[in-house]
Amino acid sequence: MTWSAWLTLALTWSVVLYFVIRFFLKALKTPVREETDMEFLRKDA
Amino acid sequence: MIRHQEKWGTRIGLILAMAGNAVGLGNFLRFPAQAAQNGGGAFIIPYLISFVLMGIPLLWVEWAIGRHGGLYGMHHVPGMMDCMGKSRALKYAGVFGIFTNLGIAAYYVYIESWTLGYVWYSVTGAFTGMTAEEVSRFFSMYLDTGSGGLINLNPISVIFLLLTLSLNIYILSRGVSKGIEKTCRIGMPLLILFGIFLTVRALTLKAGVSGASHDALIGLNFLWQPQPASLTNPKIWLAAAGQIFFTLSVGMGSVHVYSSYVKKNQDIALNAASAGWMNAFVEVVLGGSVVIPIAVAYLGLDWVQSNVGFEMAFRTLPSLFQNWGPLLAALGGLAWFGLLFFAGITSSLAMGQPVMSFLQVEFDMPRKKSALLFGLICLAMALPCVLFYGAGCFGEYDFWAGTFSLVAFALIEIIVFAWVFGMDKGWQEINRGADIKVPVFFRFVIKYITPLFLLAVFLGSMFKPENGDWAAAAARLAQGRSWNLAPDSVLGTVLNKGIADKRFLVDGRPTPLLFVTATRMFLLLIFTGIAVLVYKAWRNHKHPKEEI
Repeated sequence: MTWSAWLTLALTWSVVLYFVIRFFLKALKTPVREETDMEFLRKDA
Repeated sequence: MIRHQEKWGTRIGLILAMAGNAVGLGNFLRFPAQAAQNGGGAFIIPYLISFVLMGIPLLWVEWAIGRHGGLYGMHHVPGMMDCMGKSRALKYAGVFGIFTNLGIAAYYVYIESWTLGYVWYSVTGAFTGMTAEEVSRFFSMYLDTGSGGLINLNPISVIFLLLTLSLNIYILSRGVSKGIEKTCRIGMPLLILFGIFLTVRALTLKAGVSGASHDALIGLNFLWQPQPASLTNPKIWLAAAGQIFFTLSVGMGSVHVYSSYVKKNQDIALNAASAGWMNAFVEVVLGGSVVIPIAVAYLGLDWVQSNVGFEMAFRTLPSLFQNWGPLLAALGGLAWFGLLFFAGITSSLAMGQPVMSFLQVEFDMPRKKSALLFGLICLAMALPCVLFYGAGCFGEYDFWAGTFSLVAFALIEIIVFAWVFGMDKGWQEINRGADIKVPVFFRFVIKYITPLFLLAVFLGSMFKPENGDWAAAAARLAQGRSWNLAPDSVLGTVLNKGIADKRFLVDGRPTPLLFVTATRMFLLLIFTGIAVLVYKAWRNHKHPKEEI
């Protein structure tokens, strides 16, 4: 493989892996709010 | 009208279901072909730019429309669109959100059934000892297209279709959490595992090892070698934008419907970004590392350049796996077709739910009954694809439901969201309960850039010139002349540019034009029928907008 092909591949894979890991881990770690729809609608009103 | 009580069980389940919806056969079959035909490494630059300026914003918009509709009990696209503004016509834009899913599911489930069939054949060693020509012929026999007959009917392929359809119906009838979510929680990790196995195997293939005649890295180089000159070619940009479009399953209505089961104060911004990037990972990292490198290792770059395409997965790969020895060949086949099967079923389930939720919400139909009805409609619509595969019915479904409708609906929905619903409310909707801070820059992108991007894709597909040569078309336009339309442009398709014989019958036998025209009429009938059902549903009872 040429160095420019390696560079394109490495850069693209790094960007994709960085965001997929970052977002997925954040989603795993962040607890879900347990407010129900009715509670939300009441507050919103 | 009944109010749905269904919800997603877990956040990860929802992300995997959304990612499963997006990850489909196209990630492994369409992406490598598109990249190879459009500048290799240079393709990835417009691809990523399109992802950020069109893909991610559209995902946020669709998640927001879905969650907003779900708040009013609207778990189907006509109802969600109706909630976006005062106009009564808005609900009819949502007809696309049912039609597209039905139209795509009809042929998609058929391809999905091939992958199930090929898992079976791979595991039972059916390809052992076959030559490359025999494996290719096997596929023609499987579809019954080799005999040149008018009707293509192989009972085995019909059995696998019925099996696949039954499995879809069963899972859908179990509900959003117990059916779809559970399947995606099993299917997606398995798909990634199979993908990693094949990627490692593909990238370690060297000339002289396991029967390979070239290094697989030559294939990878072909895919990633940048060709900067192609960046100025509009054809490459349209191809990249088109790929982003189809790979994320936007413009279909399935994202909206899944999102309508998200609780109203829960995050959508992070969930949408997670699912979108996961799809990009499967496509760019795994999808780009399997088919082309393996094919190049055994058949050489020249062969791949002239043969790369959708059917390669079935016609070519099983014979190449045979070079790995009986056990690895079976494992390779299981991983490849298993991966395609999971990619397929997690997407086809997402196509079923929008149809079911419309029947459930508007016609008070129980879940199991609506799943069965979806299956029956799907089967009825799939039959022309199966029986007249060689006559062009399949291509018509793919073009009108799987290509044109997606772009048309995405363009409509982004305009409705940004300009009818309004960016103030829209931005609030995207950010409500968000677990990440969405950069304010995207507010501008959603309002101006994404609609313009989509308009360019829409007009580009309408008026695509012959050979995709936009430079020549622009030169002709400057001289005040029109250009020749490509046969696969929307107008070229309507005018039957790609069909030489314009007669319906020759010696009493129907021509491809007759089949193509009949299929278009059939699809138009389905679209009209759904619009009539929407009209009836709104006439039968009040909807949230009328009650407010």
